[in-house]
Amino acid sequence: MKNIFAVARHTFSQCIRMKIAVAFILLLAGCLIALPYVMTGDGTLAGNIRTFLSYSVSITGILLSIVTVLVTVSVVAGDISQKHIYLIIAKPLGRWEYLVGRWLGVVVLNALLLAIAAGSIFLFSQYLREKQARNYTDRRIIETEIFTARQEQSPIIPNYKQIAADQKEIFRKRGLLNSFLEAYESQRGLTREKAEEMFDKDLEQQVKEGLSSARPGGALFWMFKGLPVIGEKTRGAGIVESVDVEEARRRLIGISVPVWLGGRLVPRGPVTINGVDGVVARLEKGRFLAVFNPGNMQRGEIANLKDGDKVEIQADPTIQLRYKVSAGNGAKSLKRTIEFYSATEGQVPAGGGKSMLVPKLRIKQLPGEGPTGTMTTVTIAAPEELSNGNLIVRYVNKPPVSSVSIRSKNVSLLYRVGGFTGNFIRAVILVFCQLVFLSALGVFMGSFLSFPVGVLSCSVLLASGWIIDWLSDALGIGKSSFGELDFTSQMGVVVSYVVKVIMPNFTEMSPSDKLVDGLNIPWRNVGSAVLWSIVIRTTFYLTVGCLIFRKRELARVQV
Amino acid sequence: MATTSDSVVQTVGLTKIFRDFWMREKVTAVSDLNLNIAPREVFGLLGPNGSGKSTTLKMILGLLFPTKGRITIFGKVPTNVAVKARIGFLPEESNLYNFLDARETLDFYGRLFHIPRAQRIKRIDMLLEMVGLKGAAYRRVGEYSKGMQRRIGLAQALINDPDLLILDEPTSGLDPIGTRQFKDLIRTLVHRGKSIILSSHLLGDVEDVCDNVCILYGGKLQTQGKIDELLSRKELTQITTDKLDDATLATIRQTLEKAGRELVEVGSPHDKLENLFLRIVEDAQRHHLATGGALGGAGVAEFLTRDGAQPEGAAVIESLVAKPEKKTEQPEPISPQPEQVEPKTQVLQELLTKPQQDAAPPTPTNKPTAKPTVKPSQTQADRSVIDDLLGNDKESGE
Repeated sequence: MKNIFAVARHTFSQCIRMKIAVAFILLLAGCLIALPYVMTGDGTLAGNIRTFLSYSVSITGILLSIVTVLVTVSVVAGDISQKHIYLIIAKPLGRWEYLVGRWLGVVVLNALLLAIAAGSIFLFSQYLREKQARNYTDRRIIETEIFTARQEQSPIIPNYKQIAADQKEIFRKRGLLNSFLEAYESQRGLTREKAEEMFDKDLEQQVKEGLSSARPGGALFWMFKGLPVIGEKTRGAGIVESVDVEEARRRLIGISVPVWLGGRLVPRGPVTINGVDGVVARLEKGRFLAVFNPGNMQRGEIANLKDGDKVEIQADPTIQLRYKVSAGNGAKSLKRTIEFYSATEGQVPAGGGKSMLVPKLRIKQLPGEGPTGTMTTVTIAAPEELSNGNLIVRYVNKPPVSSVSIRSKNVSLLYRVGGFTGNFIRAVILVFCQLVFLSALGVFMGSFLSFPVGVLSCSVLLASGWIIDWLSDALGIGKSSFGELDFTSQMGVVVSYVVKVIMPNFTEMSPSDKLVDGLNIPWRNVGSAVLWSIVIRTTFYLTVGCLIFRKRELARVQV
Repeated sequence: MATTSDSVVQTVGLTKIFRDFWMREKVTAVSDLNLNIAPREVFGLLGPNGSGKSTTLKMILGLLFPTKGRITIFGKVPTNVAVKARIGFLPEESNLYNFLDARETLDFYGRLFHIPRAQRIKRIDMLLEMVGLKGAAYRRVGEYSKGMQRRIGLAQALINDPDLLILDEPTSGLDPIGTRQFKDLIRTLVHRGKSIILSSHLLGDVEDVCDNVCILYGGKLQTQGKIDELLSRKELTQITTDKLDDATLATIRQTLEKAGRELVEVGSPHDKLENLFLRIVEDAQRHHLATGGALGGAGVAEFLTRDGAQPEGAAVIESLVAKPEKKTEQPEPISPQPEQVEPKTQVLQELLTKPQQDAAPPTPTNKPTAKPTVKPSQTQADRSVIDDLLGNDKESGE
């Protein structure tokens, strides 16, 4: 171990002296300083924060990846080409100790640089968070869609095949199927078998489209199952600004709150003041109006409040529905009503979609208008009725504009499971796992390749790791069986399979998308990254590197 | 031959063949080399460029693996990690990290030997003092001159107080003072029971410090043995007598045949190592032994001496070039015959020593350049073997 630490220490100081750290920090600072000038968000603070987080985290990851590859290959290959290795090998340390020491030194450097970069990004994002938001919606997005960690859940996807099969059976019973198939045969000149195959395909497609579109006045349904009890309440303090008694003897209390706390409140949602349940009547930046019914307003905790009093505030958790709607006539904005229903187990339909019965217990109804073509989020206070974990969401397309379609994969339900800080730390750990892996890859390449060849090989692997998911999609891999593909695509499948084995999935490990959307990065993902990137792949590359290095004649001139 | 347990380094049938990418044999760098280096021995590895000296050292250190044969160091294989704790190595080029200063360099290598911190600091101080770099201890090694780098390289080789010191061209780049200190160091280390292997082109240094030498040519061992034995010329007799007058000198040739004078000392004259070296290399070349290394140069390249359409002023250059050319050609036919070389080297030595002795008495207005150029030719012409032997007396007689 002493040897490994000595080499690691040496590597670390070598990198510092080589001004790598300085160069990295300057580059990163340059990028971040330039960022405000290229930030062309939608003009909202939320947009700016999203752009900042997305760019800064990605740039840090990319810069550090490049630095890591260059440094690891150069320290190992450089030692050999500049014959520093002659002196090292003449000393009593194993060759594996040398390689592992080199790797460890770069890992420590990465940890330092990543800590600096992540710290700066975190602090700057907190600074941006404190800035004046454009309006209440802006603030709510910042607080509930960015600086949070939400779990995303998809609706149950209807079994389109089964629904299509049922439909086909109906046709058969009515004696229509035969004529349909004959039409297919004659019009397209197919055999009976082929015609039926094609008919089945078309029918399934039709069902799919039918279940994800609604004419004006129609509605779409989604079923969410197995939602946890969303119980985490946000607590904070506020100052009473005004106390009024309105008609019907309702009491209105104006309270100023920190912006982050205001962001957790939902209009017309529940709020607890000094332990008394009320409702948020109006919400503005930094303040809100709470309403209490006559029964509650008599209670001492509320009845005796004066201006300037400090009160305890408890905001209930929220859930959010995210969806993307497209309009048949290309309208930019559509009127809709979104309804939330709780459902018992018996009401959960197998197929879902239009055929679903509307359950009676409506939790919430949100009339309004929403944009088309982009992901839209609506927030409601998490209903207590959700305790059985089932929720049905109904989208009512208000007439008379257009038919709409929403695909099941574009609908999700989100609920808060943690804070931003924890999520950010997990994101940084993911980036770190990536760097630890790349250090091992670089050391491995340096153990038997010269600097230019090693860097080139690493870059190719790195790039393929970055684009492999995209490439698999582009080649249509996974959509059809291997035998049906042409030769080029078969080669693509083989290559992508190899890359997936030798490289970690960088897309999965890239945390910036999740951070930007305030989506939770579960510890499970971090654990799997640690296991696959560090424990398995890093160990593998280091081991193979050490084996090669052990067998290598280090004084042999390499050309 | 000593047994393995006695020897510090032993190679048996050591062969190294370099192959190219397609595994075709390119060159045989070392061929069937048997060496045996005993404790407390300074072993010199000699040979012309590319004769396999460095390859041998690299194999001893495990930087290259033998194609055939085996090596043991203190009874272990060269890749054994533990055995390296007893070795100090100074490579041909110093190969130091440019970004470290002298102290950090020694500290880094010291750490690899697990020398405790306090002892490490003490040793570093002493080593820096010894190699005369105390004043430059905090300068980056990259800024050092070649000689200074050699010194720090030597210091790092000694940080673990090694039992075996392997030195590749140790004195190249060192100034005369450094060279002298180095030789003293070697003697001290040997006195303390250390073993040393060194390869060098600077034959004077080798001759001064080595007990045993071997001369390689084309990767093959040409000769090996104790330096005293190798340099003694058994076919000649050296006679040292009192100062002789001219009459005696005139008759001595006649009387020598009958063995007339009383002899004070009779022994074998010592050859210079340089002569031995040249003789062996020339022999090897005459027998067309294969070598992957450098061959003896063959005069000045033809294009450098070529006549022809030359620009004006070329004649002047030609005249300038012509004379040195003759001089460079001169030693070639002579070198194979040691009898003729011997006076030559002595003349060279005189060239170095005499003008200094002469320069002192005469007035400073004397042209010092004239003397040395005339002197050698005179002495060379006058001298017989015995004159040479009497050189000291004759000088004192003048």
